[in-house]
Amino acid sequence: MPATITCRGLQCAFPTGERPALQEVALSLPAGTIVLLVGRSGAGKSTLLHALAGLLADDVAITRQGAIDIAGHDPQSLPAARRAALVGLVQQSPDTQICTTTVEAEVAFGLENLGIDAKEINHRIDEALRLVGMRELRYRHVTELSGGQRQRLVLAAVLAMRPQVLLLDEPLSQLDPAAASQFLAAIDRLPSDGPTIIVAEHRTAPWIEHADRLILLEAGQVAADLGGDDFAAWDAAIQSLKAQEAPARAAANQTSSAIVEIERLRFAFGPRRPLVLDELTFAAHAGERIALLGANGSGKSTLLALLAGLHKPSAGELRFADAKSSPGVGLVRQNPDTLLLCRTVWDELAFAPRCAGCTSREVETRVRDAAARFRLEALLDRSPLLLSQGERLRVAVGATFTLHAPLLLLDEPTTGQDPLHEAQLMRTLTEAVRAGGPPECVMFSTHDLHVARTYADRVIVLDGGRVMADGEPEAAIEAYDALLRDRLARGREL
Amino acid sequence: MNWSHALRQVEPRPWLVRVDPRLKLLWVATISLGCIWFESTPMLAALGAVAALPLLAIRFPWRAAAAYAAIVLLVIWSTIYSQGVFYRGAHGRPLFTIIPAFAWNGETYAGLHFYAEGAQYGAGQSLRLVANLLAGSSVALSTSPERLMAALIRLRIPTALSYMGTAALRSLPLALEEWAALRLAYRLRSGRLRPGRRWAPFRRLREELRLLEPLLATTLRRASALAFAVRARGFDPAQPRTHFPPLAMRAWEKLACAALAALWLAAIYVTVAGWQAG
Repeated sequence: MPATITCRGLQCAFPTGERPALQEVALSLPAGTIVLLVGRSGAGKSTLLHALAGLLADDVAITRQGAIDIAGHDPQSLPAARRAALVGLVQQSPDTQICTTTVEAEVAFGLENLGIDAKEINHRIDEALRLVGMRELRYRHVTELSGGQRQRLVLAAVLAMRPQVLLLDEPLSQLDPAAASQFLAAIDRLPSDGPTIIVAEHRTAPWIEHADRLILLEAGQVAADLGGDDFAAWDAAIQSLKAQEAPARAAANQTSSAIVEIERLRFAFGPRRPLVLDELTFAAHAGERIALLGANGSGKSTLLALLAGLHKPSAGELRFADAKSSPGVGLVRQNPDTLLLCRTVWDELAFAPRCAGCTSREVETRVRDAAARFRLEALLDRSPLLLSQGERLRVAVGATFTLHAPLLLLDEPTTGQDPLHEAQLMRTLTEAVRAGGPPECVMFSTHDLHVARTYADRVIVLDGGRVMADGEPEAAIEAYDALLRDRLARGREL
Repeated sequence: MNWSHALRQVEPRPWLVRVDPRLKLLWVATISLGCIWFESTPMLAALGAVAALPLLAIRFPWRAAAAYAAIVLLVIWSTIYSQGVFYRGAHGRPLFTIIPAFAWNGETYAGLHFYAEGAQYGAGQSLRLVANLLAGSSVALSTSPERLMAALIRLRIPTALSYMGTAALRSLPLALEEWAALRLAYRLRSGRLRPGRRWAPFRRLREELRLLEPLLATTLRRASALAFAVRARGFDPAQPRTHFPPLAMRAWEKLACAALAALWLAAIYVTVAGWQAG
């Protein structure tokens, strides 16, 4: 049974924030609506969702004022089990939400907390897994699931509790288009008397046809509340903003010097293991921005790891133009947190040049340059671990940038970034490439077709470890899109 | 070696996984009782062998098995050696001398000797440690954290403690994974992609120690995210919860529990009788 949601004068403040995270937010959402919540990073989307979920009270020193009413209750004042039965929350990363080891146990976890008996739990597990299309995976270990399956598992675990309100915090941000479609299909399968849904998302396009209403948050305030036909105009405005920020595309430049040449490259994680990369042949040239597209498991991250020297090819050749120049490749992995090693942002940026034996003057020059490019000047004395996710990513990219490697590899650099930060990051990298480096060439993997279309001069599509398309973005993306549609039509999991 | 990957490849036989976790916990407690009860080295060695029996039903990747065996042998050797060297028995006779007695600066020093009594004492202590390690790890490797938590709660351990204990067990491979990721980051960002052939233990140690702080930070962040996730799903350690599937002992498991309980009673009886006789 869906619930109405009412907020009056909602205000939330963090002790360290310059301004309240939410200011005088007033909302009235009828039962059963699907609301799309948009806004830049730091606009207050997640804080609003956490407040609606009644989970702000557990956070240290956050002050909340104003009233929230969901089906006649303020979730914050309810006991944990009743609160979870009223409002369900699905967050961005499935890995930080999965609490148990198997699919069945994960769905059962919340139901056990509600004190439901075993027979009913069994029935609800079955029902929830059917809704998300994972019934046949009931007894699997969670480590055997793909990223998309894990996110649907989290959704199933929340739906099994039959909440009256479902809050989704960027649920598609880490999913490839096929997995995102399957997640959306699960939302479509919810019964007509299903929960009221609020979705906070940077990737708005997939939700446009599902949502009844769109709320824009800016600096913690409701800046716009749109309904129906206004969405299309809003989406067009966002795309136009991104296009303005996007640097001009250069023609694919395959006549300049090759930084790396790959010839008939094959790779498997062991002698009897299946091939992850199979007969790859291409070259990356100076001045190019190359996007790697492909479904989860297509070999994108493995290719980047091979180029960075983390694995050795099983067969074939990997030739760098200047084999003696070390380090020739910088790699920013998907989770920036695993790249941060030092106490301050300054030390992070200085780490690579110090290891390379640069003089202190050269170290300082590189640090100042990277700080200016990635807008980190104000953060140089702060601990990187206490920054926001977007800032941590910028530190990780900046810290890899100071290696001054000719080839910079980025694994999903725009995940979780709002359109403006995404555009700024990619613009900075483009300017560096256009200026002749470092880096001379940027190669990044992405699931976001818009990012590939906007920020790449060349797109390489991987499918099952093979190059399926390589060339101008439009043509390659069209080929990838056709592949996705074909796979989805045949109901196959990529 | 990728330890988290190796841990995930450990594969217990299904029958061992199905054994009621309460019986497994009683088994570990009984092995611990044996460690207190027995004094002689052969008996403690026999106890260690018995404690290792369930491990025969667990398939390890060979490198993980070799590492496990190395840890066990290292525990035994280091305890025997340290006790042998530092034993100060009243009538201890050195088995052999490492540094003979010497005089220096007007003082006489006794030297460094290896005592047979110390070695024997060390053997007993190490076998006690090893027996508990073997019994405990066989339970940890063959029981899902969810079932272990259900068993602990049924054994009246407070819910918060049960959850913390089992969450720690589950987070071990995750912490190993994060450590591996941080080491990789260090290699990537320092440009030292391969560990290198030169044996530089102090540099390696310094680099590993440098990773402790970010490891702690990422572990705390993960723990905080997990705490948030479980709260969002209605977990409250102060409230009763149900368990799925519910724990149910089969007939043979009940019999095994009864046998182990009888062993406990017998041990207690003999101890009390011994005190009274003394």
